[in-house]
Amino acid sequence: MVIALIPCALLVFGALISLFIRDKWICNLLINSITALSCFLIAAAGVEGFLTKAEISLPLDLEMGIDPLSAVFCIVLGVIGFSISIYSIKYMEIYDKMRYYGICYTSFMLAMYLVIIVRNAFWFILFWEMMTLSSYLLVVYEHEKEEVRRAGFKYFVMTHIGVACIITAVLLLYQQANLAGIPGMSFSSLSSASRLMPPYLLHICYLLLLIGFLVKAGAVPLHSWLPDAYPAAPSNISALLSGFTAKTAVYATIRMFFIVLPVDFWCGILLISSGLLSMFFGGIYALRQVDSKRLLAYSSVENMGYILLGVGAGLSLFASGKGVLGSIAISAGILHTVNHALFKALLFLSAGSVIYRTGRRNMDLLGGLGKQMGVTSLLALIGSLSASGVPVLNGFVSKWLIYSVTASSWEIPILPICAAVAVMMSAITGAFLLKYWSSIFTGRPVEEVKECPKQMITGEAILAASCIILGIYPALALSPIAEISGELGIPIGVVKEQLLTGIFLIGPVAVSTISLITVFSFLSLFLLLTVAFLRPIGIRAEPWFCGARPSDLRYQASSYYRNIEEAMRAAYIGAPGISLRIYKEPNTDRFLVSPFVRAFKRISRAFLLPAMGYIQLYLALMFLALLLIVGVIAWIS
Amino acid sequence: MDLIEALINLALVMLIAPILDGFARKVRARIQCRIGPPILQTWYDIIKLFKKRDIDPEVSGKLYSISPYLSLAFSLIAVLIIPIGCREPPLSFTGDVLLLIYLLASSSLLMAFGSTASGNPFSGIGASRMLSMMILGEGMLAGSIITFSVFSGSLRIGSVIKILSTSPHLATTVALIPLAVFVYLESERVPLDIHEAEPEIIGLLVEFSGRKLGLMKYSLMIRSTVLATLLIYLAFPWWLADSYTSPFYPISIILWLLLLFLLTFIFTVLDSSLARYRINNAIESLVPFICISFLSIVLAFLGV
Amino acid sequence: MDLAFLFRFLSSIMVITSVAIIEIRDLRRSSYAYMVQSAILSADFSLIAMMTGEWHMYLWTMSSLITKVLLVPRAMIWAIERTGERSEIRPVLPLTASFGLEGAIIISLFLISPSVFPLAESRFPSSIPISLVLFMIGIFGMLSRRCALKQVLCLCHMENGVHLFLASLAYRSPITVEIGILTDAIAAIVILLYMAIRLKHVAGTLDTFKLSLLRW
Repeated sequence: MVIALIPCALLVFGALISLFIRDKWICNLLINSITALSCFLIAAAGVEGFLTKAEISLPLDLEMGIDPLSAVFCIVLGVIGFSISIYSIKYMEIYDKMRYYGICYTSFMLAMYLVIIVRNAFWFILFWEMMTLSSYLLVVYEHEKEEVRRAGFKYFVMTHIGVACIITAVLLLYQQANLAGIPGMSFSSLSSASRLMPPYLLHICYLLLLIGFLVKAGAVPLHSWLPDAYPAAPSNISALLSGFTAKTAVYATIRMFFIVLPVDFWCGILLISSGLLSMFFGGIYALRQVDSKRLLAYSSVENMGYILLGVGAGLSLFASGKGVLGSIAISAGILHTVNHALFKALLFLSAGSVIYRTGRRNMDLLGGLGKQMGVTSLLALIGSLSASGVPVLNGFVSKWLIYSVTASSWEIPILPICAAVAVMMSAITGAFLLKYWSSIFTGRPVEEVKECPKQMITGEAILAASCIILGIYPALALSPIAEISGELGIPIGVVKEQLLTGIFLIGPVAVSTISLITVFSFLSLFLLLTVAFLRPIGIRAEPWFCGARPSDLRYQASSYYRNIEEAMRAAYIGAPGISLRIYKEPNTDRFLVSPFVRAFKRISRAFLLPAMGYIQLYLALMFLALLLIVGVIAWIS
Repeated sequence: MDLIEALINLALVMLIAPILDGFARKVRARIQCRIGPPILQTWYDIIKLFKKRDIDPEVSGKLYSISPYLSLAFSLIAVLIIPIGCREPPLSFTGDVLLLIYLLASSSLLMAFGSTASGNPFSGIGASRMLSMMILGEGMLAGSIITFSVFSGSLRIGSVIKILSTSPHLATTVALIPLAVFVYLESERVPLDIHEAEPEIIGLLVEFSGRKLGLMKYSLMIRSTVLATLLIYLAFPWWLADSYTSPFYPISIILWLLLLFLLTFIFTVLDSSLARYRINNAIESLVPFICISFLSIVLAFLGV
Repeated sequence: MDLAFLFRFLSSIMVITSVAIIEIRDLRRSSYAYMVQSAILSADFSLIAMMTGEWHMYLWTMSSLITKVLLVPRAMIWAIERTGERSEIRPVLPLTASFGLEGAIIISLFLISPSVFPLAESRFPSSIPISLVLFMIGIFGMLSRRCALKQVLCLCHMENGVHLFLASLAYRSPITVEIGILTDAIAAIVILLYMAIRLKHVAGTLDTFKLSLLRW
């Protein structure tokens, strides 16, 4: 268990040391190396905790423990953090404020690591808040720009409303625990308390926790901070935010709704509906984006929809008594979490590479970088295909698993319909990722760029390699994930058998295996390619412009899928009928957040009436209030 | 997985796919009052393309060279998942129907990726249009397939067909409509062949030539055949042999061929009689079919 | 000499000095008046010490001598020098009205307090009303003056009243109270004086009605 604590010490050391180093380059190198090392240790701690199921109890009620659920997330954080830190060694050269970055980055990692390890609700909220604050500071890293500040502010306010809801729910549970005489705020005591609560109070807790976690995860009614905050942050931070911070919300959802609190069918339905909306709106809005990172942000919303679909389906199935199918559904959701973390981090890092070399995010102004940035282009391609769900790569396995599970749960009628919508959304994913990749990397080159430095490529390559490995051998991820069902009271053997005989590469009776298919496709591809290379390569010529003179004509990113937008006009709420060049972003804020903000402003203005800017007036009012209180107390006693 | 059955299926589809295309050309020619090319003409065309030298645009990337092979690989694996003549396909497991959807979609997606990798802006237009159609197509396909699986209570194509053969129901009949439209869409026939709108823009395959073009076209034909087979067996799940060794097998293969040619004939008649849609009209015309497919899921739940 | 009589005598002088602090327009002279008042306060503390025999009241005496008589007026004069605002304040009320109100406050407090606080009249005669007077006049000063430095002075004045109240009622309190009072007296005053200097720097005047200019 000592391994689990070393990263904490290391990260704190890194944070403190970064205060004292003046030289930009050394600070950058040091911070990123320390973080990379800590992430490696975090992954190791995850593996060790998974094998030995360790627990630690520090004073002040700080209980920590690594069970299979935490272990999976630790390993994901380790892998992603390691790649991103190595990438950042070179990427952060385009920025200046190294000490700011050093403190915030290390505390961000530390907070995320601790959130998935603690077993005590108080410390959980503390580290959650620390994660929110440090990520806010990192989002507003370029705070000289107006839109970055605004994006950060929106992120800050929305996540803090979520935290307030979470705190309220925990306090309700704690109050119940106090009434029942159960000491402490650890998850187990809250768990026992929740079983003694009156049902309406428990439902209020569920709703509050859902709001809190969905805001952080970026699921649709509460996602509006995401498309502004992800482009505003530096690309490695966006990768970390998208790749892990949203997943801590998923972790928290699973921990709370499955393990701590009793399972509830309607919570599952809420999660499923949220997932459905996220899938739909995330995909639709991503189709028309012109900013590369904004497109990826909406893609994150869409994938969060898949994850919530899986987790929600699991919850509902559990609550209806179908334990085995439910745990398969949760495993599907968690597998998609792992996969999404990997390929989304890869995609964001590739967008970062483009920004590193060209400084641009607008896909209309980019193009043709594939010839000069060959390796980056290939890695971005792997990321895009992975996200679209092409069979050899990892996105396919988890998506397929989610579809199979939801399509097989015939007792909950909404689930097969969700599966059908999800398949349609899958096509949309392929569409916008094609737009992303081809707008940036294909066509005639717009400018002279060089390939990215080795460190950045290494970071991306690690993620791409994991995508490929998990695509061919999903059992590597699925066997640990299947262990989680042990936590939920389902016999592990049954779940493993269901999951793995379909997917295990080298199994005893492995006739019907998807991995076998993927390997077969590799082999057939290989054969065809060898046949191909028996012939000489073709001659080079100008692209065919239907007889016209070749020009610098390019198919702009903003023109892709315009027809779909026209056809689905109603889905792009708030956009005018046909938007030719400037696509107005639909604004869910108008319906969901703005009414609250306006009411709040009106109420605050009412409070402002007595305050006219003179401290004497405030003092007089305070004194009168004091006299009033004293008088009341004196009169009572 | 039965290797022999797999090989037989592969061989059958690989042989028949271009012949179906040739048959379609013949029918179209006859409707247009000309003699038309021989039925094996498509095979001759593909062999000729394989012999020619490729011309690659200078701005293309490596994906452009590899994607025809990848696309074909995925299409060929899709062949193993559908039953041909027998009740059980060679590769069968829970959820294989979803794998089928994915393989076909990946094949088209890789075609689009490869064509944009060629660097020609017209490929971008073609890819954008093709994927727009594919988005709606997937909606229809997913709805129908999920209906079938809900109705039969299973996700294996073999079991679906077995249960369907017992009794037809309204839900499955309704689900056949969007599926038929999807098969029509994927086989690139006239009202909806937006991305291959040759007189307008050359479309996706503008930069492919020689062997790559041959492979792309071949992959397209195999996909159409696979989907046509799926449609036939979902509409007509009777008279399937138990395995390739049974004496009924040749008869079921002949039946399969007959139904394929019949379907191609119907499609070609429609193809020759209609004019191509503009892209907006195409998209708007497909939306009712998506609604029908979701409606069929609801009907399947109602047990109708 | 009767200590109680001395106590009452000194406390009465404190009332006069309190009015002086508030009314004197010249800031330096107000600070000196405050110095006098604090000296009397310290004397009161030592009287309490002698009357009750609590030895740590002597500590109170020493600390209040150091902080209130030496340090706080020094800080005030430093602030006056830094702002360069030698001696002008712009009050809200004219002189007579101000005097009248203060007189009303003093008289009413002396009338009310025996009935409200029947306790400590026994040992330290009239210390309660006098501390309340100091407190209320301090508040009155804060409400009716516009100069920031004057407001700081009125705050210290209020604190004097509170300390006298505390000392006469709770003369057995432990040392931590003493530490609290010490830090309060110095730290809060220094911060306030710094803000007053910033106000002068930003707005060019010490008028508290212009405090909103310090906002960003």
